[in-house]
Amino acid sequence: MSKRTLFRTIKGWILMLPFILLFGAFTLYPFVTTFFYSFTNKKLGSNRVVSWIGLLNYSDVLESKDFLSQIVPNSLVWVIVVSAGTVTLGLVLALLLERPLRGIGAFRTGIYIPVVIDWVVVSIVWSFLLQPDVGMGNSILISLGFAKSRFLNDPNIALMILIFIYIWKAMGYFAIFYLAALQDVPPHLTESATIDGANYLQILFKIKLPQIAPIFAVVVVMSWINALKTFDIFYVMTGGGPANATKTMIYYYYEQAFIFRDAGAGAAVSVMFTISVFIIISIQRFILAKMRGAEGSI
Amino acid sequence: MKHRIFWIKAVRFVFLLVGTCVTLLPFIWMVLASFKPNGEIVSYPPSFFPETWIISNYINLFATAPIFTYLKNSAIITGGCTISILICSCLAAYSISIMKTPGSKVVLSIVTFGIILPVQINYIPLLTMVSSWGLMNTRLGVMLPYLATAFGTYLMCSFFLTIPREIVEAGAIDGLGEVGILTRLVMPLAKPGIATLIIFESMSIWRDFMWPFLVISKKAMFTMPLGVVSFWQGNDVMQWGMIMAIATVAVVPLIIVYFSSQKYFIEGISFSGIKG
Repeated sequence: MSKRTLFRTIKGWILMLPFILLFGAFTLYPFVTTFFYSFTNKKLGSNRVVSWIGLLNYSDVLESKDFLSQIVPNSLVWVIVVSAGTVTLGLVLALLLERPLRGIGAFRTGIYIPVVIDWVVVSIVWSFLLQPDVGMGNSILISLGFAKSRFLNDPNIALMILIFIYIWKAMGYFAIFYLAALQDVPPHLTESATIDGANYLQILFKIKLPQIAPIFAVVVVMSWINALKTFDIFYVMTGGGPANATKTMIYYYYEQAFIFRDAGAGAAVSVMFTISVFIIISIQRFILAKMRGAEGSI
Repeated sequence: MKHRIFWIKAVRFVFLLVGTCVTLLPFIWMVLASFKPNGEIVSYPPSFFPETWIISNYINLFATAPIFTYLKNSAIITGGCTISILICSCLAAYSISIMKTPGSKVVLSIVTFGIILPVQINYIPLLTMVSSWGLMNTRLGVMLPYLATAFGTYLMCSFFLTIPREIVEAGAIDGLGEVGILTRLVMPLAKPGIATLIIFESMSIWRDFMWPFLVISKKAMFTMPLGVVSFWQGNDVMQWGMIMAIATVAVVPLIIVYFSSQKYFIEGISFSGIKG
C-alpha cells in the first residue's frame, strides 16, 4: 500500500471513530454482555459475586409455569396477527390512496398521524375509551344493542383489543411504504395492460403486486420486528394482565430483569428473543432471494 | 365509462373518509375531552363535542405538574442525541460511502446488524453501566444509547452513495481537505437525507418510554412520555380532564414536527425502505 493510500486509510478510520466508539460502547458491548449474563446468576443492583451457571437460566425460564403455556403463545399470536393486519391493511390503504382524488393530501396526512403520536398517549386515550364503566366503548356497544364488555379486564379478549389498537396505529406507516413502491411501478406496464383489456384486479395481482414484491418482503419483516419490540402499550394498558393474558416476551423480560431483578433470567429471555428475530430475518433473506430469482427469469 | 369512473372514485372517497375518521377519532375526542369538565367526560350518554368548554383542566395541569420541565428534559435529550447522531453518522458515512476507506465494509456490516438488533436486550448491562457511573436519574444517562445509532449511519451511507463522484473529485482538485469536502460540498447536497435523519431520529428518541423509564425515577428529570404516564398513574384517576390535557400537550410537539416536515417523511420512508 502506498504511503498516500495508507495516510488516507488512517484518515478514513479516524472519521469513523466517533461512531465506532460510541456505538461499540453503548450498543455492541452491552449486547455481548447480555449474552454473557444469561449464563450467570447475576442479580441486578447487587454486588454479589457473579458465577457461571451455564444453561440454568434458560432451563428455568423454559420450565417456568407460564412461559411455554402463555407467554410464547401470546407473543406468537401477537406478532402474527398484528403483522398480518398491518401488512394487509397498509396495502389496502395504499391502493386506495394511490391515484389522485379530491382531498387525497389530507387523507394521506391523516392516516399517518397515529404513527407519529407516541404509544404512551395512545395507550392512555384508549384506556379511557375502553373503561368498562365510563368509557365510550361500552356506550357505543350498548347503543348498538350488544352487551357491556369488560374489555381489557376480560382475559379472553384483552389481547385482541391490544392487537386492534396496534394495527390501528401502525397501518399508516406501512401504507406509506407501499405508496412509494406503487408509485415506482413503471406506468407503461399498467398502461399496456389496460390497452390489452385487463381489468383492475388482474392488473393488481399480475403486475402491481409482483412489482412491489421486494418492498412487501421488507415490510413484512419490519412488521414482525416492530411487533416483537412493542412494550409501551403493554406496560401502560394492561401490565401484562389480566392473568397473563397480554404478557409477551418483552414484558416478561422486563419483569424478570427489572422487577424481580434477576438479570440472568432476563438476559436469557432477551437472548431467546434475539434469536427469534434473527431466525425471522433469515427467513426473509431466503424468501427475498427466491423472489429475486423468480423475477430474474421473467 | 365516465359514469363508472365516478362511482369508483366515490367509493374510494367514502372508504378513505371513513378510514381516516376512524383513525383520527380517538385523538379528536382526546383534544375535545381536555376542554370538558370531568363530569361531562364520564357522563352517559357520552357527548362528543363539549357542552361546556372549560380551560381549567389546562390551568390546573400546569399548576400541579411541571410540564415545562418535562418538555425541557425531552428537548435536551432529543436535541443532544440528534446532534451527536448527525455528527457520528455523517463522518462515518463519508468515510464509508465516499472515501471508500479500506476495511470500512466491516463497519457497514456491523451497522446492518445493529439495525436489526432489538435495543431492549441491551438495557440490562446499560443500566448497570449507567448506575456504576453515577448517571442514574441524569439526562446524560438517558442519552448514552442514542449517541450513535446504526440506523443513522446506515441512512447517511445510503444517501451519500448518491453523491456524484465528480463533485468530490472537483473538491479535491480545488484543494479542499476531506472535512472541507464533507461540509461544503457533500452535506448541502445531502440535505434531504439529513432532514430525514433529523426528523426520524429525533421523533423516535422523543417518544421513547422504556429506557428513560428505567433510568429516571425522579420527577424533575422526567421526559414528556414519563411525565404523562406518571401523571396518569399517580393521580386520582377521576381527573380525566387533566389527563386528556396532558396527553394533548404531549402530542403537540410531535404534530408540529410532523406537519412542518411532510415532504421529508414520504421521501425518507420510501428511500430507507427501498434501499433497504
